[in-house]
Amino acid sequence: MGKFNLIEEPWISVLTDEKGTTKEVSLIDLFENANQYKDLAGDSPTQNFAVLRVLLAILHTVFSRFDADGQPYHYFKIDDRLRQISTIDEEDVEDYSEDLYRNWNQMWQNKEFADIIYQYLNIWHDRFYLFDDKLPFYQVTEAVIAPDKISRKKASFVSGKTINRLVSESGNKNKIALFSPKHSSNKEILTAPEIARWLVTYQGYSGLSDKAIFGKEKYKSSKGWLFDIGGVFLKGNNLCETLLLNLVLVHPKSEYIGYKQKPCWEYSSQDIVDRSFSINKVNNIAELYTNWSRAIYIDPETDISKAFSFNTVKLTDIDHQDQFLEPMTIWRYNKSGENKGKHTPRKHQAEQSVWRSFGLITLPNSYKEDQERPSIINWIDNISESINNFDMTIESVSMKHDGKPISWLPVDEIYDSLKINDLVLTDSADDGWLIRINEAVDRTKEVIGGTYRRFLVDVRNIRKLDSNHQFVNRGVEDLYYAIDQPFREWLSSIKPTDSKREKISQWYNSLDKIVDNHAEKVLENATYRDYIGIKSEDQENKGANIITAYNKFKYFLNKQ
Amino acid sequence: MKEHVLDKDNVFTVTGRILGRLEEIRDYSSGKAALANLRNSIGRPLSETIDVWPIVFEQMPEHFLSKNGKLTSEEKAILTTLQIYALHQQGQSVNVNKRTEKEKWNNIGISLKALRNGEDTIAIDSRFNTMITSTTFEELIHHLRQLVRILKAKKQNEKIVYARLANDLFWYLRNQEENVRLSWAKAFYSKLENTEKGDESND
Repeated sequence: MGKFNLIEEPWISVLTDEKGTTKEVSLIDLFENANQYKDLAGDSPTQNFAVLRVLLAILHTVFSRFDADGQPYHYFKIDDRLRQISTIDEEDVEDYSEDLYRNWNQMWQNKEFADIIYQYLNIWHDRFYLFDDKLPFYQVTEAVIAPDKISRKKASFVSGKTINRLVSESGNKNKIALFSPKHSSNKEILTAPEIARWLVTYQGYSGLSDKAIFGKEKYKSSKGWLFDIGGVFLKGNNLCETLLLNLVLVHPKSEYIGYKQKPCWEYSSQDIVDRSFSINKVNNIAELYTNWSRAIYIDPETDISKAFSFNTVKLTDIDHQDQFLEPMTIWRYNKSGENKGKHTPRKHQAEQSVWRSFGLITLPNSYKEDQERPSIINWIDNISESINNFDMTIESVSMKHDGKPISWLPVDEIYDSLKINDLVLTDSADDGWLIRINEAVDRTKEVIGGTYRRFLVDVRNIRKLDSNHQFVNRGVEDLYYAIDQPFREWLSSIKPTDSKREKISQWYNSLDKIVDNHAEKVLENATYRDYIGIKSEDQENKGANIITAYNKFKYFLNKQ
Repeated sequence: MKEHVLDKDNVFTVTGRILGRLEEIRDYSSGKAALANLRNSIGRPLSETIDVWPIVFEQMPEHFLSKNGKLTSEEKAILTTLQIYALHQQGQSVNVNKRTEKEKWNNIGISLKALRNGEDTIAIDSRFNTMITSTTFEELIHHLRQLVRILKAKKQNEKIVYARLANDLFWYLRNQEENVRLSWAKAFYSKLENTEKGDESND
């Protein structure tokens, strides 16, 4: 008999008001009250992202089969467990797609979910037990990882403190990881809700430090699909809006439209493991969002008052090349290497605000040959008629790893957001906002990383500092930091009716002012020696000092 | 045999209904005025062309209609199609719209293929390629209107499945432009004659 059912027991942490109050809710509670809750409020942004995708997988599954009123679509057959059991005729795909758009529209107007979702969850209740010896949620049964099936006597052991962390512990047992959420002696003990949340998260971001594999032959193991993507998603004013904004019912890539949704709980754990080794590609969002990187075994008799642990066996990686089924990532075009000529997901870069990747996130594919816009942004294009003049937030999330190929240990998180009006976000015309904003981003990067950096290099040379000295890099980062908030405020203040010329000029004026202020601060700290400067080896050239360096900087700043 | 389903509202069926209505009244003064209004609305903001509103919007289902001042993809696809139909129908005694079931191949490419005859197809192929490689909807429509004018001048008996055109324009607007380009190009460059694709429907 199963214990702790995720459909009815509280496990998802949500934000209930603007003051930061949180509580844990069940799946049913969450869908019923999604328009009352502000946001997910789990232990970390990567966890929120992983949990969001499970919620979306449920919605994709139900509302690919049923309309906004809970009536089944007539394009395929539905069985008594509400599964789609036949495929859609190719000639019906367009009509089905129009119906999906219409019903998405209806759900957006309703701002609530049809009762069919509760019928579905009730029917699949037996698949949502956290502890179960037959059908555990997101886990395998003991038989699936029997000794004769894996490469070692036992599956890899993972301690609760490994799963329950914000920053990895150092190898030194006596050193507590920075920002550890719990005192060391309690870190291994997790509540059932914590186990559930981290189970979902671990399947997305496991790294490669465990050892056991299926069979004896090596294969490319998954680190967790979420580990490798530069996660991008949209946030509304409450959880219901957030779920709907990210519910890509009609995939912007036509090759992914019309496939049966296959969430992991509709299959046995053996099926999931077998499918991992199958050559068939993932073709539907529910399967992708509920992908497992590991066969995870949790003892169904686990005593949660004691230190928690579980066992893992590695599963295979999802093919990264041109994996455009994934709507929620930014893409890199590869000009060389094993992925040459293909796009692969690109992680967000640490210490770089997301707006520096504005073009990668927002510009349409027609902008340049190798641009691949995230499908979630194309989706906003497609639904923008319905959501009309809505201020939304683009969220970005990645896991940072330790850079060691043998373990890919998760060590930190990269999280950021941008507020932007939806009509601005979808203005992809040749003279539209997106191109103008991207030009502003490029110019900002050139001013900071080019003009200002060269000024700092000149000053470093004048001071005869070593070329490895952090003076330049630190100065550039300080300036980016100073620019960051003003740029965000400027971006979120753009209204579709604003004059582009005036708005862009406003930014350039702010930028010049901030950059010049920073350069002047460097000047204010000048020493007597800085004014003397250095003599050039070449007699024909003038010597440089901090004033000539500053004047050169001003010349190039004004020229841009 | 697929179970028969009552016509439900999608871009194809709604456009078909509007065109059916226009065809019925084509010979009356109200029909002539409607077509003239559609032609006059080409290239002009909708707010300046209120004469077309009854024709276009009275038969649209509520969920197609804009909730703000901006046209929805459905409205834009259907209006644009009706404008091209009005251009094509002008001065023609026979109906230029072909009524048929919704089929993927039966698109504008098949109709325009009628222009690829004789030895020299370079000029028309070039025009067609320019159209399908347009980077914006407005550019696409500009070239499409030119091609329909040529079709009208040179192949007076050739019909267009305008409901299909509206459907394709809708999907073009919904980020499926690659699909639309490909299906039009396949039809345009195919070797099959029209009649091999099925019986001519009675008009």
